[in-house]
Amino acid sequence: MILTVVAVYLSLVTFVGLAGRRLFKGTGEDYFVASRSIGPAVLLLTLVGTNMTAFTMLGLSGEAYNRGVVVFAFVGSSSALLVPFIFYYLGTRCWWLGKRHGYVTQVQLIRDRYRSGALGTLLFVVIVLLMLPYILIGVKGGGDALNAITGGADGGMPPWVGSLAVCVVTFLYVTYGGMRSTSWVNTFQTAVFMTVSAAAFFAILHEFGGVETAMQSLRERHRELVVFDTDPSSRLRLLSYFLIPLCTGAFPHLYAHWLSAKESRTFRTVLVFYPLCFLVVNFPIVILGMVGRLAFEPPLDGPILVKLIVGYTGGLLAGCLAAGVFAAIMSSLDSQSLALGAMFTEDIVRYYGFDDRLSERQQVMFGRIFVAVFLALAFVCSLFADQSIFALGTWSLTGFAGLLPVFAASLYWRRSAKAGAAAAIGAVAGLWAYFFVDSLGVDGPYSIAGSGLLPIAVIVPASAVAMIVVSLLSRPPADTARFFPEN
Amino acid sequence: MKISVYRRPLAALALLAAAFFNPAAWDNDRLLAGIPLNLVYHSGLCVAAALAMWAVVRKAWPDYLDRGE
Repeated sequence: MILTVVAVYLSLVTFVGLAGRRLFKGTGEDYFVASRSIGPAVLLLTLVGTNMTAFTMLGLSGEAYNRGVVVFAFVGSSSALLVPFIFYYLGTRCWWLGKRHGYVTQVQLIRDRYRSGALGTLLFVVIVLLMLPYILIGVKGGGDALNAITGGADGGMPPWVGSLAVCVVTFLYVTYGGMRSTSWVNTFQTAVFMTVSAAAFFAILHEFGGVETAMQSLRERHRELVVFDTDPSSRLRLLSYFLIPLCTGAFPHLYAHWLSAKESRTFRTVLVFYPLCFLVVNFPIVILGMVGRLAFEPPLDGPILVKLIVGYTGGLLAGCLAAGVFAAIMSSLDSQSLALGAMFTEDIVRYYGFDDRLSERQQVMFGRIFVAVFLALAFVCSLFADQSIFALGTWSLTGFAGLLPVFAASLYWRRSAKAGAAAAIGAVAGLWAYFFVDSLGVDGPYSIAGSGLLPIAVIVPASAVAMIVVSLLSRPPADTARFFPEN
Repeated sequence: MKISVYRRPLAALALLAAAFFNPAAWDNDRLLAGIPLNLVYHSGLCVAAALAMWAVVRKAWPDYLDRGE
């Protein structure tokens, strides 16, 4: 039953993705940003879907099982608060500049804004290095999830089967239809994800006598799960997690989705409904993770959500859960691989190899080749990566958050200079490497000197200070008027 | 475009961030309709963020974005 539901789901995804091909115009702009034609509902759901990963369904419920209700603040409400403001300040401005100057990637914006090819190349390298482990986590997460849902070590599907399925289906619709197919599929997958999490929520809580009965039992047996820790290190950890959504301002795949918006008003719907969508996505998952504590005592031998569904519902819902996990993974993986394909095509091949002259057909061809290469590479690496790869997820987000001051300054500060941007990127790379090496000898969750403060709380301010101080000490580029709206 | 257009949303963001770190209910284990108080509070913050963005797009939408469309 589980495999049948998964097969039906993957067929539907492929069908929706290939349907997007019918409107394909054959140009690079259409392949990478759907000719800037995406409407509000599709943009909203595709942005929500792109920000969901395997962690949203399996990792979040696992964290709620261990830490309790505070996890909703770590991941849910912090994103619901910050991300719409990032879309408002950065998303709309990037869309405006992209439409005005024909940008498709962030590197094009930075090269043009600071008149520096080398700065763009430096940013390109940093973004690709941060993105690769993030992609690998998705591919490996798909394999591990299918393995766990179908029985785990007791005869479950080998992890490479799920990883291969995720890569092949994503490859089909991304290479075939580009951004339009990606957006349509993401919309479908986000709807599937929300439906599955709601169905799991009601079906499982029914087995526990309803949410009120379950939560009263939880409060009596595990009070620590329904309150926040009030010790200083927990406060610093909450502060650190509040900063993590800043990474959305520097993600190349979100940048590409911003540029795909049909008009500025498209963003209005996204801004208003994004926090509500995040509430709908995260609320049931956190509750289910906490309720899992009533049924299973630690240590667990698999994801808590999988154990709840397998233990308390039937094979149909378990199959839907697998589909939901695949939805969360592929809705990020497609956008990430397409964005990297766009960056390699536009920022390296077109910029260096063809002196900025590359036909529309060649752009699409290179984009498809790079998407195929990334997915193949991610699949091969997933065969050899162990569980420690998942720890790189937070590090990847930390690095992207550190790049936010570079983009914010380029968009809003006329006085910002190339040297300032380079210094900020250097500060991010240096501090990131320092903290990463420092974390290698630490067992369990890492924080700076065990204080609860995560590296992101140092890297983001350091990046901002480097950007401001070095810009003020150096000469800004001339003629920046075309990057700013007239008064 | 006036600079103040961009400052008003920052004020809303500051208020929401202050509410996010409000420790008043952190150690409170009450349930509201079966949901832990802290979860209700942070769910309410999500709704408040949506309302804030509704006000932002109505009252602080930059004119230049709509020009030339």
